[in-house]
Amino acid sequence: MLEKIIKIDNKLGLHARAAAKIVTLSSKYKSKITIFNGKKSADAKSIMKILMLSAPKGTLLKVKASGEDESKAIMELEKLINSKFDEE
Amino acid sequence: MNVGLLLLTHNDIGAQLLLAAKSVYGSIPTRVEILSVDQYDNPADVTNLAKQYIKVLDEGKGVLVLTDVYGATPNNIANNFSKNINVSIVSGINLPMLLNVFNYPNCSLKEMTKKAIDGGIKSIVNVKNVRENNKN
Repeated sequence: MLEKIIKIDNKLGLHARAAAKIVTLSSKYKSKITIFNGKKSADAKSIMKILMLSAPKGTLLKVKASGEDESKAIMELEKLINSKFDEE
Repeated sequence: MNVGLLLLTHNDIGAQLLLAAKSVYGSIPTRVEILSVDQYDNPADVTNLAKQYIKVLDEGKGVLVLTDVYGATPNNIANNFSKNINVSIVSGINLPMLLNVFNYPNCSLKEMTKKAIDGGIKSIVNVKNVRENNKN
């Protein structure tokens, strides 16, 4: 199991399009991926669960992945979030 | 081959919701058709059209029909197909319902029906209450 703290740094935070990108990316991996915002957690492959995290700009998310491709999954998710979801 | 989707709604509700869902996902992974009903439409004509759409949309995994108000004309038209085992009908369409359906494009008709209902219901939130709970 791997985990990483990643900061949401885009202006709109974890909004619908950003959440959809996380879901699309996470669904490519076999690993179970969970995203935490404080006490709240969400399956990274479910758009409704991710939106319920309601994470604005500046939120520190913890991303956990466990499975055969966990390191690649975490790396790519970090890249996506750090790139501000390619929207800025 | 995925479950086909028919949005059978009052006026442009279906088209506008689909447009919004497209802007969220970039593209739509499922075959979708839209049928709008307004006060001037003859329900028998729309039923006929719906029958043809359902036939085209069913590629083997069935068709999920999403309508808006239970008991209103679009839903009553959809109800004509409730005996068809390859057709599932869910009322109360909203954007989260559609987003949740597109999140799971490969699932069966039964699973997709559940995803539609889950997405539609669970996104209805008293936002102030959630904010208060998060503070505690």
